[in-house]
Amino acid sequence: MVAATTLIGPAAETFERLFAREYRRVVSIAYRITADAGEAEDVAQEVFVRLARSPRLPDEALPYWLYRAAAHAALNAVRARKRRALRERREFLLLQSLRAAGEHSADPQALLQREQGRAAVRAALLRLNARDAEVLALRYGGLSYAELAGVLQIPPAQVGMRLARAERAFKKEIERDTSR
Amino acid sequence: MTHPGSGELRRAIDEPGHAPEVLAHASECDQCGTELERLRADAGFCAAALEGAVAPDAESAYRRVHSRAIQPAAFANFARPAAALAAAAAIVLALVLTPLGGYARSFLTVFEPKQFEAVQVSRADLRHLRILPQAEEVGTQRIVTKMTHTRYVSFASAQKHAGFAVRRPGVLPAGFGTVHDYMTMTPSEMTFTFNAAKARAFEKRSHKTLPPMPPGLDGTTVRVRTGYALESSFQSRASKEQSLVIVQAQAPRVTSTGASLDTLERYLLSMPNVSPELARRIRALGDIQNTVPVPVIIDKQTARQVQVDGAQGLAIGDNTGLGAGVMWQKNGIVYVVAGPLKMDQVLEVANGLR
Repeated sequence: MVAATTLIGPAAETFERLFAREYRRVVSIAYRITADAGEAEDVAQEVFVRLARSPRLPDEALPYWLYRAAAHAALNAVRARKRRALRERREFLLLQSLRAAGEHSADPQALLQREQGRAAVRAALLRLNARDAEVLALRYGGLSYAELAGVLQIPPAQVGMRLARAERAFKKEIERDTSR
Repeated sequence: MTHPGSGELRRAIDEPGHAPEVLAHASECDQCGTELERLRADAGFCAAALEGAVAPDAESAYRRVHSRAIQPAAFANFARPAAALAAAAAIVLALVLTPLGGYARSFLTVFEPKQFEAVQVSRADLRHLRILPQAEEVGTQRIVTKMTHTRYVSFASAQKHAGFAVRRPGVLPAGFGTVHDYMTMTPSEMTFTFNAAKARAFEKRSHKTLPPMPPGLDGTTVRVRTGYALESSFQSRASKEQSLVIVQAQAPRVTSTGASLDTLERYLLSMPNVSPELARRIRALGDIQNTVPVPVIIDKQTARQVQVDGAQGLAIGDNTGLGAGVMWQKNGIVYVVAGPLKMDQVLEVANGLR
């Protein structure tokens, strides 16, 4: 166990190198959930600041800790945003337009790439169980199966199953919304 | 082949090369082929919803994180006052507070430091001490609990994490304190177990002769426990390289499972390269159980006993006039105040701690 600050202090490069290597990926993971680049960057920076200030380093491999912390922090950020005023109202309107769009297009890509689609994606991720949301953010944030096994601390053979289950649940959530 | 599970089929979509037989099976098995298509549709749907590139600017992000995580002063702080005094203080810290360099630690085995005594050392003594066999050559070191350091830029937050009631200076000398920096240290524990066989192997390898281990020393474990500590530094306005440093630490404790302190001392002081003169001076300290020998370089530094903060302390001045420091122990806390200052200024800070 090493102090995070010893990483940052006498060996400043170590933290800098970790940051240079992992920042984009951490942003990428957060972005799956926030669907907003600025917010994803805020989340990623928060995660690195937390690591830097932490008196103890996590027990697991640092990148894995960063990835998972990014997924959790992004979910929390979106959850907090959801509580804001007008959130419910806007979501309702967005879903209305999504439904309208869905009637005209069976192509999920065209449907979901729209700004309104992003809101539905975020809302669906929030309704998912956190483990499913996490695995989706990590996989579509760019992690390989081997890395997923490391981050989720499960045998590599179980990664496919976890992912398949999460994808199914996510798709159902979106469909439930758009067909409401 | 038996039907692959959904997990295997799912992986085959992303990593077809991983297990080609899975895809081969699915192309011939209706049931698995249907499942594969369902999984592919789910994955495609998710990819459309969740994919998208972001291209953040890592460099400017690093600058933001860096400024938030650590104030710039923290880095500058690693350059300590150039004064020779600071070196002496650093040696004391190394010996007493941090489990660094096994030899020095065992060499100055203290059960609980209560007083500080100057031991005059020549430059040659210091050089020779450095070429003693390493601790690992006469035994085995083990870190039981590693000390962790955390930096804070405000006293309030450092105080919260210090682990004991810490004090701060009532007044700072003119020209100090534009930047405050606090570093807390958590308790640590390390053990060192003497091993005669290792010492013999070292002798054989290095063609050096070590003193024979006295009876009972082989297998003895010495345990060093340090407590919470806080180092506060106040940067000089004149130079970023110079700081007034205040260290306060719960007194460390050293215990031994076998050999007595006398035995340890005798063995370590009989090491080659500890000059008979230095050994004699350390033995002359008397109450080694409670005394921290502070190396003072002959003809460079002067040392005297002083009354400070209501306790007996050791004040070390630098003959070059570059710095001064004082160390003492009170209520189980070891204090060191040092900086590029005159002795009376250092004592004023020490006496003004609140």
